[in-house]
Amino acid sequence: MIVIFKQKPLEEILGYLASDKSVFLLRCSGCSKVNQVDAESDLKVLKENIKDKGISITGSAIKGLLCIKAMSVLEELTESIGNPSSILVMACGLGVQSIAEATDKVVHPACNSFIDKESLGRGKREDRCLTCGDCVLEFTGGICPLTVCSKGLLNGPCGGSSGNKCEISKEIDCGWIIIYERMKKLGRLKVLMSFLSPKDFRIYKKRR
Amino acid sequence: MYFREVLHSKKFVVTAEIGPVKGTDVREMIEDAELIKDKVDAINVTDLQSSVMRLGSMAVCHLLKDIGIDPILQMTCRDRNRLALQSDLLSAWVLGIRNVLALTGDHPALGDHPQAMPVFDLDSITLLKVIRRLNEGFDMAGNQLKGATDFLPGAVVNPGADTEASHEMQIIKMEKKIEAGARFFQTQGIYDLELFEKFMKRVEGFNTPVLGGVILLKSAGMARFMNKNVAGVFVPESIIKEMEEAKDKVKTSVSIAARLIKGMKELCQGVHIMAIGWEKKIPLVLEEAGL
Repeated sequence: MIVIFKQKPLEEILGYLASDKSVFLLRCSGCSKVNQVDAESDLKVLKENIKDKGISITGSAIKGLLCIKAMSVLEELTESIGNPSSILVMACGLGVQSIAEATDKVVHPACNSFIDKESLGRGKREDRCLTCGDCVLEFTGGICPLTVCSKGLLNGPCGGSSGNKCEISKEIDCGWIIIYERMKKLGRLKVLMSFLSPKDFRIYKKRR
Repeated sequence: MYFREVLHSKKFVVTAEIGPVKGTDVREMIEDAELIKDKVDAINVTDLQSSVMRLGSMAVCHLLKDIGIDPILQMTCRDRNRLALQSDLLSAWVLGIRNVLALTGDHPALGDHPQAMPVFDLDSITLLKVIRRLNEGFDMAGNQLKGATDFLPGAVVNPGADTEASHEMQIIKMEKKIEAGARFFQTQGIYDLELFEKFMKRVEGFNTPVLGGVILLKSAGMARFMNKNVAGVFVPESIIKEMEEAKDKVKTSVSIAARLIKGMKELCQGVHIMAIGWEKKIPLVLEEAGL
């Protein structure tokens, strides 16, 4: 099965960008044909909507397989990206997490991820994105708490970590400490006060 | 006086904790509770602590209620989804339980049924919001209840988190818990009053009562074990030595606990005593602490 992504409501995305002066748009052309359809026009519409809000756009690009190629894509685009306040990524949760891992810039997710039940697999499906259909990477520094925390906690760590390791194993880092460090580096610790709503179990299946 | 009234009086609050038995023989547990019932303002009943299967918190809270104790129902998100959590809250209310402590819960992998499915459908913060919603007369889905609850919701915080990041996250989460409706906090066991004082200064502005945790030490070995295995608990070497050199371990343990409680009187609104099987010693501790 393949992950597909659909753009979040425009209001939500504009909320993410509220304190940004400029943004670079990066769209994944995906591993699935579904994701390739209308890539150009989707990007164009979103760009116009963002411009209307007075946020300048340093540039945009459409690249394939951001989940695997994040590093090389960012390297290739260094010049055209310039120095924006943030990068807005139109991709599945895997793509956003890979880009967030590969840059020190603030990365906003523009999409929610779902499983394309009709498609048969090529493309890499990892456990990092549960295709929950309600992406929260905006609030967690581009690191998914559902998969990085052993308990999938959405609103901060439990009291069980010791030496920044998870209570279930000293081999596993506490996911929420990883998120904290990232948000601190980005100067976005205040965002950790956001309340994240429980997930809709009809949309995704937990695998823990 | 009910716990919620004591909490808003000027009195230094004292709560204790009972861990239900693995099985059905509740006699000793009830005896212990009888022994301390006039000395404490409320008793917490743990919810399958350390993820070990045992008698449930709600049933034991009900038994405590029957003998005139105001129980605090500990409720974790480990074993129940949102349907079961809400239903259990309604059940607890009709059984006369008025206080709930919302917790995440240990991972099942730590307990005696490590094969169990971890639920964590909700987290402690969402659970606090759900309690507030039930108090308002609605369930999580927005359906109206025929008869609301009026719980006093509480939460936990770990002032001894051992790294800077973990400490900061504890404080962020504490603030989120207050926003979600927590009206009091009970803490992990504290042995270092200086660190605790620093913590209390940080959270002063939150204006929510904090009951400092006190765990009775049974031996130097137990202290070392906790230092190694219990998150957020750190027993300083001087206290370990005190236990090691003690002729009468019980007497020394009681003195250490009493000393910590005396120190906490200046720092927070009350104490939460975790006797872990030594419930019978609680009256001695309180006497020596002057409570």
